[in-house]
Amino acid sequence: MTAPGRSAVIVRNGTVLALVVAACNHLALPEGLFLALGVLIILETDLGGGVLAGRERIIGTLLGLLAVVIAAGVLGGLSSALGVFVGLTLVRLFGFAAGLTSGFVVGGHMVAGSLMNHGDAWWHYVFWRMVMTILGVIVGVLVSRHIYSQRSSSAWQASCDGWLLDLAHLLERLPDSTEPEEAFAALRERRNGLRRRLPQLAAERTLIHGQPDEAVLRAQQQLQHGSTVMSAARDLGLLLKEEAPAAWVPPGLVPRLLDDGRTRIEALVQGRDAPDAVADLGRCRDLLSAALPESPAAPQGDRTQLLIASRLLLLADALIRLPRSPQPPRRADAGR
Amino acid sequence: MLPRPPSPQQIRNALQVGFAGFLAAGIHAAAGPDVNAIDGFYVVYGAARSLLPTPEASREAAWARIVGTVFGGAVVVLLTQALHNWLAIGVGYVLIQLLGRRLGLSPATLMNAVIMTVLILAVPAHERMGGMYVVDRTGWHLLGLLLGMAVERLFWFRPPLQRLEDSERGLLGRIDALLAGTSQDGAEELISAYGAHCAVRAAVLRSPQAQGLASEGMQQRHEALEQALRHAVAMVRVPSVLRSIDAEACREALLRLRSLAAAP
Repeated sequence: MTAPGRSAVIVRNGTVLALVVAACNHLALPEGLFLALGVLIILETDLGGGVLAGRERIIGTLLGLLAVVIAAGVLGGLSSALGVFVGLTLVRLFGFAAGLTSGFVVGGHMVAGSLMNHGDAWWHYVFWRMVMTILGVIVGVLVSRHIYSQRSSSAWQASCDGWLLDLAHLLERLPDSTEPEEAFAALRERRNGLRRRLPQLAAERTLIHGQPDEAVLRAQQQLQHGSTVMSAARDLGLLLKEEAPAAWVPPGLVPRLLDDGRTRIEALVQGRDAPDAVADLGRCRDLLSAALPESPAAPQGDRTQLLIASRLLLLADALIRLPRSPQPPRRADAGR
Repeated sequence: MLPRPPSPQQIRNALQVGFAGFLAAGIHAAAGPDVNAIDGFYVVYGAARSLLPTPEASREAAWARIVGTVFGGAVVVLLTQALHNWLAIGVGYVLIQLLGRRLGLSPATLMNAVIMTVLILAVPAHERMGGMYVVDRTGWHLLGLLLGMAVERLFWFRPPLQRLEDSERGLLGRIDALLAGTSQDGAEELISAYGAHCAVRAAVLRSPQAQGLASEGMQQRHEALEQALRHAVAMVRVPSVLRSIDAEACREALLRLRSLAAAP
């Protein structure tokens, strides 16, 4: 996000938070504080991240309520320390069973607040807190979706395109690249980051379209085939440093394939297909497949050559299968 | 999504949290009737926030909580000298974000800081307490967090190096299963598992046990594992006619790794 964009989000969040607290006070909502906190949790990240955080918060709150009902209601005669032991243990167990990654902390907050600070009035506290949390998450998601919306999908795509372009530049200088290991390690880190953010993308698309749509599938394919390009190129760099391609590898095939790869990725990031590069990659793949020795169970000396061939085939195949990046919709007044 | 039974490790974690909460509530009760009920909530919640999946995560979260609470509290208490109404919440939020980012605070720390805006300005009793509210809350929270981290160390604690060895064993098991043809893992699953392993390794490198990875043997062991994994991933991806080449290279890397692991 750009600096002015980030400032605009901060101002949006501050304004919404102030208005929500003012409304809660004006309406004298019971436990209205949790409505404001629910909104805050959603707005602190982009839409997809907010949906995931909201899900964790709502489920964590519900599980906290269940644990409090058991610890303070069903087992009502326990001392506060024993009640806390039962409540906190249960809330973690419920959270793990529900597959929560952080929501059990909110559940723990519910247990601590009920048993340590609300005594006999715990039911009023947990009930209204749950209602306010759900309301807060709904308000937060609505604001996040409709007011200066920060989408996980656009941020993810921009990062993915940057990663693919850097991969293309690495292909361009692969045979003589200096310090390729550091470059590949950095690319791997970025790939892992993209992979970690996929659930946010899926959550956002599900909110908007009712189910994970083709954008999520395309993102998964970009990661999958981009990863294959990256590992194949990395192995190839190491193998080509060990040995030059054998005579049975069609001459000039390696630079041709790497050049096609760079052209193809650059075109895909711009939303084009580069059909000439695709056709040539297909030809390279066919030539190499035809040139492979009859029996690949070769003696040790030939293994490097077979690994070179294997990585070239992988590279060509992944480059052909890599999908196009979606382009941001053009504004109606663009170019006027 | 269907509920799944918690793993033994998760059950141990739940019992640890429960015990830390029990101690926290006991300490609060022992402090006597002069202590506020809400302080009991702070100390128990501190314990409930601790004991995250790894000790490093618990420590980072505790640090973010304490720094965020103090920073956010300080900004808001100063702000209340000039502004008292609901507008102050918006101004406080913006101030904390801008100042916090300038100071390089992490998102988790900033989140804890902005929560203080709501807690102080939306609850009149807290606003009346001013700085004392921040000190009180921070102190009891800190006690709860420390209790949680102490319980984490006392029961079923696994040092980072031991966790790395467990993780390596798990990864080797997956690669062995792939070579034996009994694995359902695809390339993505193997890459994810290796990513998780690297995260454990990074935790060891940041810990006092980093020395344990400094030897040439350990470095070679890591390289052999990476090589085995690279060939295992390639085995899943390459045309079947070339699979045996990667399988052979993968077996060799595993053999090298095991001989390095067996070496004194």
